[in-house]
Amino acid sequence: MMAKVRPRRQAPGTEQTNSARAPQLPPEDREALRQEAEEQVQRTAEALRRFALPMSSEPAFVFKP
Amino acid sequence: MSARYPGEDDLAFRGVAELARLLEDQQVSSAELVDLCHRRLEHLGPRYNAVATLTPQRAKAEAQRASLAKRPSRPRSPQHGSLHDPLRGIPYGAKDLLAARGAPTTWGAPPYRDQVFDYDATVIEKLGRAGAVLAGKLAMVELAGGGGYRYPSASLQGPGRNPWNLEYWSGGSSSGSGAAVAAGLVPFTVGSETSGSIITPASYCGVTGLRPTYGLVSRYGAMALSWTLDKLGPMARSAEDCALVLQAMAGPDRHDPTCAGRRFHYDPLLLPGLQRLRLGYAPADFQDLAAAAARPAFAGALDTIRTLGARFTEVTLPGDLPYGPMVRTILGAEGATIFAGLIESQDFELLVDEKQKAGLRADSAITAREYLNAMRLRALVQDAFRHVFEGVDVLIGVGRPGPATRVDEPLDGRPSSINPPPPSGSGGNPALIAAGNLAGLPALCLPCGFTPQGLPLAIQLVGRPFEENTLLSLGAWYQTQTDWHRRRPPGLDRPPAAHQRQAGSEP
Repeated sequence: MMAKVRPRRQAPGTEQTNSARAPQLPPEDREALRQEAEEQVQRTAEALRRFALPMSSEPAFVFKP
Repeated sequence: MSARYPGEDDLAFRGVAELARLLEDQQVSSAELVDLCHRRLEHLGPRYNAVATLTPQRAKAEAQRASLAKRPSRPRSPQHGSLHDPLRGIPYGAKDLLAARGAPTTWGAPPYRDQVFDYDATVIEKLGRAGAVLAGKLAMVELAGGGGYRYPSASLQGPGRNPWNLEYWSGGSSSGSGAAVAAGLVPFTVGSETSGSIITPASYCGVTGLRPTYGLVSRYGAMALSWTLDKLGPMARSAEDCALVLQAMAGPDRHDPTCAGRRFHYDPLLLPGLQRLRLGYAPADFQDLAAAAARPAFAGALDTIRTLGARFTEVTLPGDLPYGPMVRTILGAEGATIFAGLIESQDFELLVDEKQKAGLRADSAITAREYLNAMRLRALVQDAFRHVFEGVDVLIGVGRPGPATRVDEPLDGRPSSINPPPPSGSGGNPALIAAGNLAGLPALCLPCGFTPQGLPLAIQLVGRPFEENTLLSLGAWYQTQTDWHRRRPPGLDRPPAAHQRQAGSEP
């Protein structure tokens, strides 16, 4: 479930530590990661499709009124 | 950091049950414990990038309330010593995906660095009602690693460093939660697991971690990564401590419709009951599938458990079920939906790990058919475990097949410490973490030794839904036979070595 977000205000007496900066990658490396991620989704989908399920099998969260 | 009074370092490594007895006997006060923990979190926490936010004012107020609260005057319980009010006055840390009123809750991710909630997550409320004292929020992998991540540095707080060797990862995504217990910063922490995020840091940091049954602990106020996989659980110095914390955390919550509504009361099995347990395991997990450096410790753990006299049976889950792809699809589809707003916003580029970003974007394309098929297969995983638990009561596996990886080693390749995969048909339950999470089962991670290089190793006990009591009882017995859970990382209070990193910097 989604947590509720309230206006951003830090309470006195709290201290934040250890902020890290995001490293920057060149565009070609980002493109390679994008392709790799998409291929991973495809491979994962193929791995699931290889497992034949009977038509009657239902998802693990069958709705109950 | 030098001790302020004799015995302070020793106090830092006492468990919840021991500290509760000291508090009851007034040998230490909650204010003293809180002061000790805050000093250690402040001075040692950055060494491991374990801390997100300290909450000193809140902790001071909670410690004062805990000191003023009258302890029950009933006679001491014979079951586990004396502890009718075991968490009162005990400091703890919470993974920074848990809302705590007025404090930043960053989810480990730069886009949420200034996020503040004006309410407490239910588990923090419950722990507060039990008298526990929130000392601070602990570091985590950004967004609990939803899209996948390549490096341990995938965190607003920097890479989680292992208290046993700073060049190695503490594990994640509950990275700060594992390190904080291992380094004696706090006696217990609250972590979360979607698929491995309690078991992994517990294994790598040599602490005891419990992943409860899905639905036993309310998730209201916790960042969601996967509605059908997320669980919150304790990490501490012993199975008994995890049991005491779970007692306070578990139970109904009207704010969380996925909550099972069941409470947990720790009622440890006595020795005859433990000896009647039927224990299952797959030898390959502890041999061929384990890192060579880990095998002696794993063999030792099995030998110790055999001395209990319980019946041992070889058990394997179906080897043809695609456990990893199931988790990947379910987590990916649910996570990409949860974070759709972030993915479509400019803040998305602020995330630390590029692979995480690529993964979340790609997961947005998972189709309904793929997700539903993963959920249909998930029912088969539940059936497989039901079949296993007809013949055994507890399934024993390894926490992780090898020790922690180096902090600069990519996480999506095979770690150098792990052997090449054995020929297919070699048996074992290599996907036990994925399978156990898919089925919503509880698991207890227990330190079981070290590699020759001094890195911790662990076994895990997996049980039927809502049978945490069995796992914790067996774990507590194991910890009367061993002392791995009492070991302390070397050199914690010596001046930092030359390789010591500053807080928040890249490795």
